[in-house]
Amino acid sequence: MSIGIALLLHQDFDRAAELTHALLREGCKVAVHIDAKTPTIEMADYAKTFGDHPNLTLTNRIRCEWGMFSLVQAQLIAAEALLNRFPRVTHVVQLSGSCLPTRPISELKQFLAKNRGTDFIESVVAGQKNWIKGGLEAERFSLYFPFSWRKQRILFDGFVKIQRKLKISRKMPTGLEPHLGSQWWALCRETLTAILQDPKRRENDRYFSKCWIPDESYFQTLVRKHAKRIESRSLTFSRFDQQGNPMMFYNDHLEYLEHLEGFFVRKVWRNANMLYETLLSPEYTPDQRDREMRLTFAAQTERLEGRRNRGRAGLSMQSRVLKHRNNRSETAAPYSVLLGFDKTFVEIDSWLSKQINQPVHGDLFALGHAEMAQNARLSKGNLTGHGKIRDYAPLDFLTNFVWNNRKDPIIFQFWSVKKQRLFQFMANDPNANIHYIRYAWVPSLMQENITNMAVLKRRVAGFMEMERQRIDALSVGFANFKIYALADVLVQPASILYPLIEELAPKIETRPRILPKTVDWQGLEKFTNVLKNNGMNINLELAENARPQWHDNQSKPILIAE
Amino acid sequence: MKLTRSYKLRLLRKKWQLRTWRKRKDLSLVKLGDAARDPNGIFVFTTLRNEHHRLPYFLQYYRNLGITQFFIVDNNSTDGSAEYLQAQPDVSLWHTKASYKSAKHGILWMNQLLYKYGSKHWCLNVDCDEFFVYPHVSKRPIRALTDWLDTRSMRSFPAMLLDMYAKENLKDIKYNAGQNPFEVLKYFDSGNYTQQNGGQYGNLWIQGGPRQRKFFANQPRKAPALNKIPLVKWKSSYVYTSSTHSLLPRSLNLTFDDKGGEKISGCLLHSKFLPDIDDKISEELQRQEHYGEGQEYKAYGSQTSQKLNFWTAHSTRFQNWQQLEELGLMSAGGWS
Repeated sequence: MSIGIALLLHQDFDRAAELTHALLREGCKVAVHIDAKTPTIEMADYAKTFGDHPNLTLTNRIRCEWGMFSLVQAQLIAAEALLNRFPRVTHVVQLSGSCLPTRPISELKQFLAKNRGTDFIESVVAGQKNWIKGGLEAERFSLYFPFSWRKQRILFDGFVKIQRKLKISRKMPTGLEPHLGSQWWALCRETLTAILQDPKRRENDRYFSKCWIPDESYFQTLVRKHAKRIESRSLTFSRFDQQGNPMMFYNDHLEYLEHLEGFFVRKVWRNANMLYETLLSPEYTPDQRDREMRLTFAAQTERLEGRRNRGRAGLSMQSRVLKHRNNRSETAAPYSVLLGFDKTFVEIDSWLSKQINQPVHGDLFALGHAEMAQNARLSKGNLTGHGKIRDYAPLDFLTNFVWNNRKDPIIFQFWSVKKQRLFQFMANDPNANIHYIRYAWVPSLMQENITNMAVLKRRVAGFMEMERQRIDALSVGFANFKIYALADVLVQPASILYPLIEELAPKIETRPRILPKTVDWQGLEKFTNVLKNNGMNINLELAENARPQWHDNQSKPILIAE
Repeated sequence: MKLTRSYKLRLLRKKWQLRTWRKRKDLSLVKLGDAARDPNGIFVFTTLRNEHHRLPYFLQYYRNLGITQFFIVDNNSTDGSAEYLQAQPDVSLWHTKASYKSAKHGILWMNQLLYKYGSKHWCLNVDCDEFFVYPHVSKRPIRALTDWLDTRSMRSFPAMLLDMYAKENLKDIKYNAGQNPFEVLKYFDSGNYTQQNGGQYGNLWIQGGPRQRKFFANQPRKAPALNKIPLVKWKSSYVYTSSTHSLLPRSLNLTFDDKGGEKISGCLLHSKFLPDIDDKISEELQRQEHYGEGQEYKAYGSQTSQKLNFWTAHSTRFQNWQQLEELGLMSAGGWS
């Protein structure tokens, strides 16, 4: 037996020559199709290096166009040349100039000798949307594609659109079922002969010549008709990213290559000298394939490849802009926001921090500067709490803070009356867990002893309006939230704080014996009564509103506070 | 609306071309390197003034990455930079005595050389204290990157300026000419950068880092811009408009993804904060040739520069490109 290699070349002929020499050295029969667009000089240089090698044949050349039938024709020409010229060839392997062997050819020979009559070709039923990355799938077969995608993009796109409108749907020649797969196949002589001499070959070719990227479907479909035994995998390892671009291999991939599935790899960067030297060397003797190495390679590749499409959630950087789509904010990790706790409890952050054994920050957006845990002025990543820098770009401050601390629990307080936009952002963030004590501003307002009723009314109205906006934002936002009634918090602090601790630190089981002191709220009832009697609708026992009224009856919002 | 805007930008681009053309007599050719016309070259373009002690490492670093030719404008150096550069076979050198400021901080000179020599090449525009880091930089030459960008039909590549600093006070830093500056400048800020989107050129505006927190805390708006687009597959119709922060046509500035993914990006490690910064500060304060009348330099000057120290317990020690990638300062953007 011997192996025939159908080699398709269109550039980098010095590298292709190295590959060809190595294949010939190992006793392969090689048929080379060179793209007719190649300058004659380059081609002559390439051919010259082989003289009249008995195991090499240069086929006649056609112009190849990516995505068009000419590529299939080139494959057919090369395969036919191999079968005719070398009658002892039992398997034909399809390769390109940017492929390299990852295992010694002798190993491939043994492998194919063991698998006589088996075709190795990836062949997946079309229309299942799991093989193609980025592009058309079923429409590759059902529409006409006379235009080049690369050179006539406008015509290509326009023609696809028109055909969709006209509901064009071509019929495949009878007896065939559309299949897709990598074009780097290895077929046995019998199957290839059957495909080449198919009585309906003309009809097949005519049909496929108007399909899109037929080199990924012609053989893949026809083997299903002619083959005896198909192993649906390619002997050439290649990878495509989500945009459909092939992965390149570089010197630093060398240690992984011998462990990959298959016997060849594609595409190798033309200047990856070490790969060419090592993999084409007659002394190349790789180790046994190691599964661990293969998995490491896959994990590393997927991680870097995945950056392009998925990106890292919550990361704002020079080549990724946060997009808060459909009003949904984007941050890197869950975080908890406490509102009103510092207005109802004395030194709540240090108490809470002790209970849950995690840092609890003060108000990150307090006037002046961010009140970070332990009075720090700088946090991870040298993010400064300096008020002016923080307020220059408050949203960036928050997203940076969450990104920098994404691997740790994040708990901070928030109040700033003026930062409604920021609150809105958090209310729309699925990562935010917001704990909100309603009317938390009342005790401190009481302490101010404002005697002028007009001033007091104005202050109260302002707070109520702010609170209304915030509660509305929460009720329509994506954040998780809990709203507590001030009366409950003051009278039964444990009923609020225990569940809070449980939520922030589920693993801690002991209940604190000492609760934090509440702020002085003597006379609160009297104070609220005064407010009520002056026409302000305040209810300290109220936690959650029913949904804002205009959501129900679409009338305009009624401002109760005024 | 959209049409008028794109036409306005076109006019603007023409204006920059005209400005560039008017400065054509500023530069006088000292010598043209052997490989200046190499059709496969990857080029570096630089303007400099009195950088002699930085040059050996600068050239070595970029030669190692596979740069084939340096196009350098010497803005009247007096420290032997010109003589040193003239002796380098892979340097093409121009000399000018004209004002750096009136050449829009050298950008008109760069545009001119790019127009003449850069077309159809990948061109890297960096200062002598900027060291280009891209994904896989430790294992793959720059040509691997540009080839990859070519297969993705990408024409420009962003690299944010990352200010590097030492743990010691400025005066205690020991740096020898020719030494790798990052043997002493080992630290950077990893998580305090802000970015704004939506200028008329469509580029991002990135600020933050040690300079903002140290010098511009009270006027953060004025902190230097850190966004840069240093690597471009040049065409004669392109122009840089504001240092290397932005270009025209506008599409070259759209180097970011706003649909959730990440495009590929790198960093420019900035070795500005070496002991000689002190002399520079006083010189630049006199020359007033830098941005915003040397706003930045004034800010440095007001600090007792000998005690200047950016280091904090939250500073990050530089390891490699993977670290920068993991921190989210740059992205492999799908290049595996």
